[in-house]
Amino acid sequence: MMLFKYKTSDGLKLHRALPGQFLIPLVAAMTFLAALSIAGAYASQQLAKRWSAGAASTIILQIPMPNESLSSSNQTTTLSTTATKTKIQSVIAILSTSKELDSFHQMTDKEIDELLAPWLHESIQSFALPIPAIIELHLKHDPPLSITLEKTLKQTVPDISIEQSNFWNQRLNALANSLQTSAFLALIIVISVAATVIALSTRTGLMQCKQTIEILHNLGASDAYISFRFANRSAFLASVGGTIGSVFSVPLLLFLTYLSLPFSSDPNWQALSNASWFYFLITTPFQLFGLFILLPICNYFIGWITTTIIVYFWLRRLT
Amino acid sequence: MIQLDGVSLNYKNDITLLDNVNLHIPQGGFCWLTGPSGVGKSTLLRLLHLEKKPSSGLITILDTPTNHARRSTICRLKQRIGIVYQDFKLIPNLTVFDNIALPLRLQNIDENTVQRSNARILEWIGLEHKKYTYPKTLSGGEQQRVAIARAVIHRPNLLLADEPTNALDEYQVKRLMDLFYDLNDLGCTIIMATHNDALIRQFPATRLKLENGRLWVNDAV
Repeated sequence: MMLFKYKTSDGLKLHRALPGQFLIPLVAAMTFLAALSIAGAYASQQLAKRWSAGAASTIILQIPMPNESLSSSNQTTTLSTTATKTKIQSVIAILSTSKELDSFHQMTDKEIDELLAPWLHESIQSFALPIPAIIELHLKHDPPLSITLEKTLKQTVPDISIEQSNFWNQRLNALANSLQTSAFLALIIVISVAATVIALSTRTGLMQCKQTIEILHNLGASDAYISFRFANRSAFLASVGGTIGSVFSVPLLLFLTYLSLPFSSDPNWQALSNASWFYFLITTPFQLFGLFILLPICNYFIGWITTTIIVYFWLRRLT
Repeated sequence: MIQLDGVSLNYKNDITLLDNVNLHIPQGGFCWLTGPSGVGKSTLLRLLHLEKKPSSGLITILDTPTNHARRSTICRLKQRIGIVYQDFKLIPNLTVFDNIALPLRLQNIDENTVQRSNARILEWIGLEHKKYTYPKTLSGGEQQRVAIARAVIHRPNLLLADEPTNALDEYQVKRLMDLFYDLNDLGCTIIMATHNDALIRQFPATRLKLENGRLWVNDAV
């Protein structure tokens, strides 16, 4: 419409009816909280991913006397060809053919020494103790191990010990999921409060411009024109508030990211935490920076949609 | 064409302002609307300007049935109607120029045309030297002239005027009537509410008399 070009000539004076001094700080505060909620949701999602893919999905097999040959009575028909194999060789043969494993790793003597070092202070070899073979299994899916594989392993090596961490995995996943849900609920509440603030501000603006709106409406201004004028102003103020809130949330979020480095999946977290802030900044997940760009845009749309709905409903009172 | 079929309007459900009003005015008609003060002349004009909905009955404005018309249709119809309010209803924070330009700008007319039309009408109402002043600094007569200019600048198909001569001197009234007759000759339907019997005698036309909620039609005096 032509008036869009000459919008200061329609008498709505929206900079007075919708002043920024209240809306901008309120929206900025809401954006700050939204940034924290989203970062919380993102962090818990990453944590859940790490727990699922990491230690929680690992299964430990302990094979006592690993180099002992299997007695013929323990051989299954499927393993008839392994009659002369040791226990460990038989287990590795079964694991190699299994399709449910992502990978497996037999711990070396050195790794076992490192594991027991805090208790023994010297190599386990020097104690001449019968140390079981330890194999770490990484599953393609969440634990537990399938009954078939478990049964096969136990039939082959009856004294094998299978340590499944599915109890912890389930608990940790449930914790991560509930953290994520809480963060999303917080985000929804923050968005609702922001929308309510915008709606109240719009209503106040409409009341202030009531007389002018009625005259414009009677001269043939469409609902779309009037709502566009208000929505444009609200969306602008909301995006300014969003930008300010995002900028203020950056230092806090970077600091929280820094604190959470030990829990990250990055194997170089120690190097990262000792590196300069600039290096840390450039290695921060890009999603975090995406958030700062996305929040003002989301605010713009929340402002636009809320105002448009409020103005349309308000205009319904005019014939 | 304007048509009212059995139109009634009740105020707070018990006061009847209009009672089963029937009216037919062909396109290009000119009517005086008369009646005692407070009888509902302004209300009838507001009904015709689609600012109010009737309690019952059908209203057809510029050949468009309006009772169940969409809001966008009503909006387009309003752009084809000019109205002069008794209390002018000028926008206080707009200059004389911008007040007058509103109907054209709302119709998306290009700004050059707006400037040209505005210059002509400002010259006609004799307020070109006050085009950048605000309504509150104008006298009653000047505000009325601005209101009239805003009502006619877009050459409406229907012109509704509620006592438009109240604050004008005799010379201005004569010029206003000439302008209205010119618009009428161009096919604009005009309904003008007035108390001024002398004016009606001076410019004879169909007279609609509103009394006790009923509308009586007298042909040209």
